[in-house]
Amino acid sequence: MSASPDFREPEKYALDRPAVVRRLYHVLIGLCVLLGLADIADMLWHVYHKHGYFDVEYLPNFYGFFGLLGCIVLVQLSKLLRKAVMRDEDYYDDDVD
Amino acid sequence: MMWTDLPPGLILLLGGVLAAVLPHHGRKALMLVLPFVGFWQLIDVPNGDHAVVSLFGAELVGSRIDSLSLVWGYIFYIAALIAGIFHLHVRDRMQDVAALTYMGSAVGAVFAGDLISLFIYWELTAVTSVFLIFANRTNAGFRAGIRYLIVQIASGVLLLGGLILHWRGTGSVEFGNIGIDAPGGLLIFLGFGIKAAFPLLHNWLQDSYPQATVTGTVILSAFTTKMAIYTLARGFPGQEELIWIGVVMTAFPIFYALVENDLRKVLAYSLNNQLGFMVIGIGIGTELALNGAAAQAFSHILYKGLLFMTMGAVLYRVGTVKATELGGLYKSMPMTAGFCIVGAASMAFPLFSGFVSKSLIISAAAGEGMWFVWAMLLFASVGVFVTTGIKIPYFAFFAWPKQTQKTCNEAPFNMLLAMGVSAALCIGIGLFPGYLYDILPYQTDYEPYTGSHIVTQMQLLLFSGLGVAWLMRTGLYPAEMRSTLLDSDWIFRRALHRVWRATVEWGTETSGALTGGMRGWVNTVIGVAGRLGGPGGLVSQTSKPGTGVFWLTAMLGLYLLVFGL
Repeated sequence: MSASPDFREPEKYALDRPAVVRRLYHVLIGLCVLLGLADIADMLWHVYHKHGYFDVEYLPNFYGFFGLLGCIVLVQLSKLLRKAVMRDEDYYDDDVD
Repeated sequence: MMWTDLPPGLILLLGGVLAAVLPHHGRKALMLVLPFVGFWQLIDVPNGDHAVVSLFGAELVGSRIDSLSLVWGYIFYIAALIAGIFHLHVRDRMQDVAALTYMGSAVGAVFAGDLISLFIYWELTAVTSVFLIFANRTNAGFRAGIRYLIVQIASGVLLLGGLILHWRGTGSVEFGNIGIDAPGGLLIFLGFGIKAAFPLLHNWLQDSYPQATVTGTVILSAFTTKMAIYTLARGFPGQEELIWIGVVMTAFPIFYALVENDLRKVLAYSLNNQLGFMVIGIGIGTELALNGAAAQAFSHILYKGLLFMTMGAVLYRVGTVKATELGGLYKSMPMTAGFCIVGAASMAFPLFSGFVSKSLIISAAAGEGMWFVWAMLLFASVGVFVTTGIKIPYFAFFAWPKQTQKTCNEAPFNMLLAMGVSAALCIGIGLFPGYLYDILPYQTDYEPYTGSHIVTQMQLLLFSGLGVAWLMRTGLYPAEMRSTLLDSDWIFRRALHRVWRATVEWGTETSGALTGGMRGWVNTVIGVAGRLGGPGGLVSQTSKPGTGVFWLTAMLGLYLLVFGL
């Protein structure tokens, strides 16, 4: 089904260059800063009329911090889960053909 | 009239029977044409109960067309058509027949107006769909298929038991709002719960879907679980237990999804999480929440199907979907990579379908003041974005491959076309949510595109994306590993297995002791008799007749003593 695996020229694609990936990372940080600032702007001048159901939602960048923290908590807990439930790939030996 | 009274499921079901004898091109034609025929019937036939038959005092409704069943009917036919296109290159009668009869049974179940018809279709989905797993023709697939079948049939047995109790208790087999407290209600609830992949009843899903064929998994992902969501919405709307069941369902699968290596299994876990959103919506039970569950089912079938198709294409071309062995595939399969990103974005981003459907449920929870449920839904949204939205495209198409970079051809044209249709629908729903909202069970004036909603959602997503990027750059993100993760299938694959083996061992020892003991007794008897009756033995000695008479009398006396008293 697949062609024979081989190596490609490392520089042929932009995403293969670490500098490009680093720049993308910085763009992402920039976007996040802008989104955080949008909340402060909204508190001062009501730019986009934030409305929520709970008081915490009106904290500046509540959703951003929730996302960031949630992500880190998720990853750390998953590592713990892995310690508890991870076994060898052929643990269920009856799955081997 | 025949057309009006034709139960909708029969169109695909009979097509499946026909496919058993038709040649390849005839089967493919059926798979492409019949979804249109079925869709046309749903548009053409007026709402209401059709094909009503009285049988042994029970009123059977073969075709109940109303605003709830229609949502599922429409999306099932759309999914059937997309699956047909995706499946076009496969020459396998077994899969064609299984796919058509399975999809027909699922449509039939959705339009069944009574519990008896529902039960028949319910079991049919189990016995037809298992062949999509068997069709992989591997040992592991066969074993997973058998496990899948046992669980699915168990669900049907629960439904049957509940149906009989319900019939006896209420005198009716109508499939309406049942509730757990009704006669047989709990059994029916659990029967539905198995197919809806409730926590601890869920693992058949992650166990079997990754073992099905390339197209089999795409088809499986659309029907069984969403049919169960429909039956919950019909039978148990506003059942409060569902909220808590749903909260657990949205939370625990994402931890598994993050560290699972098989990308089709990752999708199965995230499917489980998405079902949780729908279950919560049904549990809340307000008009907004039920609309949300229906809308979420609709858009979820499209984008999850799309993601399964992209992974199917990778499996077809590369031969594996293990994250440890993939990476950099965007160079070889750029279109598939693009569709995968659309599918991933459709789970949450503005302008895509998930954004306009999932928010109905989150708003419903917040509107009812359920802060904990709301917070868990936000966490689950973050989780599914991290574990599916980022992980699937990244590890399949972008991550630097660990050993050798695989090169292969782009997916076949029909696969790309099916993915394209799905992607277009995902974006179409995101851009024009009004069309989706119009077919929902209840009128709604919900507006997803407010400045507040867009900004907060983008904050949630981009910051969690930033979290992943930061964890990866610092090396804190767990590397993918070739592994097996234990889940509740361990209970019946290992724990029960061990109990059984221990029982057998114990039994062998015990019975060994018993047979050994018996043999000892028998040997003793033979030995004693031999010594008594053998040469020179007490009994065989020649002696006077008086002695013989004495022994005879003694024996008779003993006989009388033992049996006479």
